[in-house]
Amino acid sequence: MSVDLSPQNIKDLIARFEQQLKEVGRKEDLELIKRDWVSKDGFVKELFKSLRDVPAEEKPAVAALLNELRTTVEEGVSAKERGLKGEALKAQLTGEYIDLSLPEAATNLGSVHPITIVEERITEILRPFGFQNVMGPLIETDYYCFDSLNIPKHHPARDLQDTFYTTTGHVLRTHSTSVQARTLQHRALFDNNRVPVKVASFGPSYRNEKEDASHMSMFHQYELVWVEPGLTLSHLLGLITHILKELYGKRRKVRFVPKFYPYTEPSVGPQIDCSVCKGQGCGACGGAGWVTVGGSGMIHRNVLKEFNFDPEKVSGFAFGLGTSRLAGQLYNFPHLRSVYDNDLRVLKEIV
Amino acid sequence: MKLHVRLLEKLIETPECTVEGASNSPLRILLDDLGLEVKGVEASQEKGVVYTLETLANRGDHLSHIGVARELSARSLAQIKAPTVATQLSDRKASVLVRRATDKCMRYSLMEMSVPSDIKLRNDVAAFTDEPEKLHPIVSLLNYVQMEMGQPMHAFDADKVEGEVVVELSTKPEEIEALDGKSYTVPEGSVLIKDRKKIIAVAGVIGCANSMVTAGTRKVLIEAAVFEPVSVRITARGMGLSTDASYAFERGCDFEGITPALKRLAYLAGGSAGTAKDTEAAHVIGLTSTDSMPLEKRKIAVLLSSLRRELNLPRLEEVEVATRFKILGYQVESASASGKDKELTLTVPSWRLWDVRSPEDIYEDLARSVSLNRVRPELPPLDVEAAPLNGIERLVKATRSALVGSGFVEVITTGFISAAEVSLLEQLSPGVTAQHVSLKNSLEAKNSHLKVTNVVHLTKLLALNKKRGVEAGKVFENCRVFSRPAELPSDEPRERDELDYNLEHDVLCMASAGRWFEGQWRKAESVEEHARLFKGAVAGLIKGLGCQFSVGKSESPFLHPGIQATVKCGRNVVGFFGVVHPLIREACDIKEEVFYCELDARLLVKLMIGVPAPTVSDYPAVWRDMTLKVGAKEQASRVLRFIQEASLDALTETLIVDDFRRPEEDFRRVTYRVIFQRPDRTLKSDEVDSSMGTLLESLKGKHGIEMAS
Repeated sequence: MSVDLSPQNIKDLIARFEQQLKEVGRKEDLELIKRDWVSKDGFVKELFKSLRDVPAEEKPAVAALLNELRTTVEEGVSAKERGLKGEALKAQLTGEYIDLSLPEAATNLGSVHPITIVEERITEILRPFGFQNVMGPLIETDYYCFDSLNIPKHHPARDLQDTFYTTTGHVLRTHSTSVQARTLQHRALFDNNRVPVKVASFGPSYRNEKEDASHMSMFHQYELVWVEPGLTLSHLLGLITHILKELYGKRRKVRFVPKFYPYTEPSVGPQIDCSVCKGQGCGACGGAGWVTVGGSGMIHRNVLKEFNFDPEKVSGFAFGLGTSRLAGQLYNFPHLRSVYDNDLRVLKEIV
Repeated sequence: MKLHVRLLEKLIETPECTVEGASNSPLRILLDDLGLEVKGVEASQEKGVVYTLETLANRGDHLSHIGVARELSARSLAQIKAPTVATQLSDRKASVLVRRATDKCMRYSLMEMSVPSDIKLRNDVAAFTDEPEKLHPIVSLLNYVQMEMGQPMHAFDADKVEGEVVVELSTKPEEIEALDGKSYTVPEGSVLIKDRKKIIAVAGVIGCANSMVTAGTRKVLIEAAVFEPVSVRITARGMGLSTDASYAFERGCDFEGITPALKRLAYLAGGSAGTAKDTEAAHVIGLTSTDSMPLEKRKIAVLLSSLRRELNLPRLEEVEVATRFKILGYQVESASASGKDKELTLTVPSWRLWDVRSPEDIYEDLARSVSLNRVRPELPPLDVEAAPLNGIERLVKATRSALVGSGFVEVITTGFISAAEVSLLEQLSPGVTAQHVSLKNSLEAKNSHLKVTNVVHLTKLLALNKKRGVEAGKVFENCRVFSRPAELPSDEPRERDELDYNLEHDVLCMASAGRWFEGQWRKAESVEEHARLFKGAVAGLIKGLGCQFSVGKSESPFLHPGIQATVKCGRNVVGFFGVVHPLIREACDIKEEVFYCELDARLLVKLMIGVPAPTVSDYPAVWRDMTLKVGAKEQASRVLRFIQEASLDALTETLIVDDFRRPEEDFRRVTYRVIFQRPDRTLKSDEVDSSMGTLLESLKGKHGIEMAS
């Protein structure tokens, strides 16, 4: 088949192609044009095949025109393709809508219990002092809970303890100070009474009480023991003040009142001004404006002697901070019971 | 203890304390600062301000107004106005003989007094006496003197006491009728006050009705004594009784408090102060005392420098220290020590012999006197090295991000469980009651046992929150559960350091109910979807520890028998998860399925140690999918274990990618993707095909598992 490769015909072809392309409005029509013009059996290929029949002296001019035709076709098709895609995408996007103001379906972040937050913050505050956190049993013997801590049977202090007795012959620990006894004993038995002893422990303790808004059978404590030559009461007060100020901010008021614990001498009760009433007196603080947040003191010489530490050579202090109360004060819970209420609506808000 | 501010003001000048401002008065603040914590406030124009003090268990001397005044004085250095007392008691003996036959009574006196028929209390004493019209004036007067001076006393009707009075230990349990009209059994070994025929009082606790003072009493024997605190305490506990007297004796009375108290009583009863002027005065007839245990002159030496160092008050002057201790009743002697230091030798006052024994007690008294809040706090030294975390801490840290990230909220539940809940668990797991550690003396019925599992607590908690409107309840807890081993013997008290550590187990628990995702408008997940999401959270947690997660067959009695599985880390079963048993849900009043998981925390701690870092290969992975027949109620995951056991070369991972069941077939078609990869080269196709052939043969030959056509 002879093909007319005259310049005029090629120019007519270009014009025809452009006219056809202009009329294309759908992807399917474009596919037809591509089939007719740019496929291997398409028009452009056929024209190039016919170039071999053109006299040599005319070939450069004809070839140039064919190249122009090919470029026009390829670029035209490509541009049309992009145009059609863009229009299709535009049409698609125009039709799509999701109301993002509707509630999200994502899993909201959970949260950590306020008591755990307090425990971890105290641990962080104490970390530069080199404390090792240990754990102790909750079911204890009389020895670790009372006898070794200078609380003999029938001592009035046992009234304070309101102890749970188990049918296994044990008690539920009434205070985390039992961990202190175990720690000192361990150091005495297995480590030649090496000092310093720097141990912290936290977890629940139990008191056999009638429960109400302010009294629970279970509460949490953060226990700390430090035995080393040269420790004084002022060190104890300094460390507790440091912890409370770090926990609540420098402007929080801290004070100390005398207490009695058989296992410490002197014994001290750290107090902070009540966050709920700002020190004015309310149910959370029993009207006092101050909240006792734990018990503390210099370890009693009888306790040191019980575990073969020489009270003439070393001294030590210990405290049990009430993490339930500290958490209540940190998050303004009105009562101790609120801390253990496990109201997920409240706990989810605590980050 | 009730502290009448008007009475206190008679003894010492106090800081301001008005009826209107009683709750936050300067006096209250000072009392708190002295360790005399105010627990209650009553204020009226009639009685003035009355504070209820919580005194310290070692300070019997604080149970009187003079004791409180002494503490105020040591703080403010103001003088105490001592109460007026009779100049002397009678030289004559009382009409009864007294014999002390036990050292649990240190001192014992009987003062005989006449009682006029029309004896009345004066208003200034009656003002501080509760319900004076209900008590005999002599008894009210004794109560007043105890309140003021701290010495408990008791009055016998002298005409009802027959023969010699003996103070002795009981050799058997005794029945008595007390003056409160009730009968008590007094335990063996108690100190009793007896006359020739009968028991007339239980020492330090209560008198008997047979010798009590009545309106017709004309002569009384006033008992004033010092009893050993522990003895009184054991007796009072044994009788199930606590009186003002026993409370005071248990905390220790003044060894030399008898005479001042009797003198004060004699003065008040003598007409000029205690009884109305127009009535005949009561008067002392005679006084008989037993031989007394000698008073210990306990001396404690402290260095002034030690006091200064302990309180971090380097400028504390010797004169201030000595003055404060003298006000507190110590005798103070000073001597030069090394350098410029001074040694102070302090003789302990008679009312502090029960509790002051060491230099630390001296530090405490001084700190209280100057105020703990004057002690300069000082930080102890920092350490060069922070201690490493313990196992449970590491576990908690490692699991927290996975749990919180999956929307779980940490909760803290109690360790107790009620008998009713134990019965519920017994229905599901016969014999489980015996595994519970029970409590002998719980005041709350709900706290009768210790929990062996957390499933009831978390289910109850989710039910409660559902009622509060929480639609998506997801919680976790690190806690302890308790179990009583079968071999544990009786409930005899454990000796010294004997402890059965296997009574307690650390567990990590998760539970979920309601929707997984928040949002009411959205369709809730099906139970199966929820199961997959919950399992995903468990898997994420285990994988977060660096462990290989898989599941196995589980038979927990507390979970739905058809929807539960064990949780495995590698080959170790570390816990279980599934849907909570419908009976537990019903008991906890929640309709929705509750998903629950309980993991052994100690085991997880062990398994998370030493997990090797994963090896990363630069060469491509090659995988093959195979569809196998799996029983309709079989765990598809067990095939994963069989594939592992085939020990194929270059096998890195196996996944379940599809689970399909045709209605007409009694098996499922489960598609497994077996992935191979080598760290050193690209695998060839025929190598993988060969391994797959070996695997299919093994599955069919050893386990009877066939390819689905």
